[in-house]
Amino acid sequence: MDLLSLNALVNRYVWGPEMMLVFLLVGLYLTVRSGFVQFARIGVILRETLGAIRERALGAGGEITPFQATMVALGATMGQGNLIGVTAALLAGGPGAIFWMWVAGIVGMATKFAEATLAVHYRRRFADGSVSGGPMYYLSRGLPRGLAWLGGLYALLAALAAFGIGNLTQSSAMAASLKAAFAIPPGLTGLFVALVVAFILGGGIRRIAGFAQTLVPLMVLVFLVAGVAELVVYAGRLGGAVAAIFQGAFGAPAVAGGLGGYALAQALKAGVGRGIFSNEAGLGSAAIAHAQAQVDHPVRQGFWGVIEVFLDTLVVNTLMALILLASGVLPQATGAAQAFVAAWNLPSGEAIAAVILALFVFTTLVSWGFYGEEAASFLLGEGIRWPYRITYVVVAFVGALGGFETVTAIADTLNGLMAIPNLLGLLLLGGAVARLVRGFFRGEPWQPPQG
Amino acid sequence: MLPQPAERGILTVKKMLKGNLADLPLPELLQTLATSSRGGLLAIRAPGLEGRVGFRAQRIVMAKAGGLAGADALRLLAGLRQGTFAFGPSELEEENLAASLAEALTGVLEALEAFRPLTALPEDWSRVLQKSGRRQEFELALPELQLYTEAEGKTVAEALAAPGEVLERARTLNRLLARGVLVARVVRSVAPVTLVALPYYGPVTGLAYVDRALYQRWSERLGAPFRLRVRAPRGGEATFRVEPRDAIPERVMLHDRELRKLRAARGTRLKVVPEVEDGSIKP
Repeated sequence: MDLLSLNALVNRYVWGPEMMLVFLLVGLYLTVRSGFVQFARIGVILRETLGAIRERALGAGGEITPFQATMVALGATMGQGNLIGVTAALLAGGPGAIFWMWVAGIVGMATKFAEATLAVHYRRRFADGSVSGGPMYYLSRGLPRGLAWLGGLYALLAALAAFGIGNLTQSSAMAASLKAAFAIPPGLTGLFVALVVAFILGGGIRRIAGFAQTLVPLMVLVFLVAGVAELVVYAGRLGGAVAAIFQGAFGAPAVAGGLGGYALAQALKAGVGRGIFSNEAGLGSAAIAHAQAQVDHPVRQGFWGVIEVFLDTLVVNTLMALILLASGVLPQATGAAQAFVAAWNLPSGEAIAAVILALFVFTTLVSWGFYGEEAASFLLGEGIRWPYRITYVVVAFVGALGGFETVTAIADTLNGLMAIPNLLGLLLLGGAVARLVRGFFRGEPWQPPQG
Repeated sequence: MLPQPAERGILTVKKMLKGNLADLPLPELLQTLATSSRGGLLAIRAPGLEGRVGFRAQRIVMAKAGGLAGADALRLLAGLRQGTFAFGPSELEEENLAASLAEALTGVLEALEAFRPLTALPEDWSRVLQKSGRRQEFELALPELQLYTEAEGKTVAEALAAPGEVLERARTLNRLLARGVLVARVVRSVAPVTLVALPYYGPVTGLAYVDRALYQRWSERLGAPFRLRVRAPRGGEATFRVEPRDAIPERVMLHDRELRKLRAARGTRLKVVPEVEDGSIKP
């Protein structure tokens, strides 16, 4: 078996239904261990996050505000998966997939909550006041000594996967989209992306956070405004689209017996897949950003993890799905990318789609650059930061030129593999999550781990 | 509240003689000034109290202290065990003492002797009187009860200078302090600060947490247990027990429910001022 065949085999498993089941089970376990936080504490979560969005930094450890950390995480989470990924899910699973996407997203809220909470709890604080955290830290510091190597494994996978999921895939998609809409040569897009990313990554987490806190809300706003305008155009079909989601959730009603069961299975697989992978809950990547937040208690940042999934899966993905369903383009679609562009039935629809896609992939590119750099510095020390940044920027440039399918495929598998040590760690650290939640809701101060 | 020195004209006195009551007690000082045949005004400044005594033609013709005038003012000044004085020529605005020098000095000496056994009275009359807060029953005579209800939150000087017989009030106050019904606390004011609200959750309510460094500063400044008065921008106000907590600079943590009662939320800027427990320090 050659390398590519092996990669394809592993890829099928790490992104396949078996792994989806593991994601869901770990999410359900963390839902229980956190005291059903996404349901029982929804009022607190909203008041602590969106209700306090204008609040300044707390100044209690960490580098950036909780909101900035969440925007960095959202910048990475929201990418092609929210646009073309949702389109693909609808094509594969029908409207019912969206219902199962919601279910998986709600379960994923507990996973992301646990990741963000643990990231702050086990983060490292350095002499210069900077902090580093994420799965590599909670795995190496939180797990028994015999399993601490999982932290190193995670860091290795993340540092390499960042070049694929965060870089090549994104810059090539951006270049292709801008070329199609505005005839911009991919080389020019690549050069522009490389220069801007170099400037942002060069400023460290503070500059990345400053960029993310401006561009990510703007990106979401542009999408929401364009999306709502689109729904106004399709207002007459909106009721039908919503009805189709619920009817399709349990198999197409007109299809009986085995065909109905097949439709249900397809809807489940496509929907759960989108609900899990779109928000990256379980991959652990967003925890690297959440670890940077200035908070007095890890659970407070965990709340932002819940909101991150809410915005990604329940707001952006749902809006995208409604646009696609109401537009009626799906039955005639020849592919996800084509259907995504065709759904925008506004003046300059293709241009709007291209700009939205460019914004989504660009923020992903920046945030993943930071994730990869943090993972690399965990493995090789602070000296690796600049070499990693330069390599990342060069890859962003060449990625725009296209033709790196093999590298992208391998990186995609590495990205999927990140979930294995992370989910195992979350399972074993469920008790720590439960203790932190209990302590927080008893009003106890946070006691960072020693050593 | 005592008028400011500038309002009283004390600062306008052209000083010729000045000193400390600890070195030159009031009876000797009055006798010396009266017999020196120089007219003028003696300004006395003590913690919590300011007084003036006027001299003309080898007689004491005017005395004022706190809200008292004449012989009562002289008796009150006789109780001072610390303070500074300054004497200089000055026009007297009025005369309120008709007694001879001998009669006036005798009154001062008698008052001095009356104050001598009142050892529970603090030397620092700027101390604030507060109910002790002890869970204990006291039997109080009518004058004691009257003073007990009036004195809360006043300085020792204000309590003594209230209308009524000075020495009798001094004896009553001394008894209340000696029995621990009232306590005289050193109080320094602390300026209000603006802190950002941060909620906490759990079963414990009525508690506010502030950053450990700020708590330490307030403790040193106030020198007594204190509570925290919190004012929200939309008018809500309440007091809380206060405890220090690490790593919450520029924050005040209040229970989520109490924060909502104040019509505030996480991130709301709250005006807070520490108050000595059972006290009434005004910001």
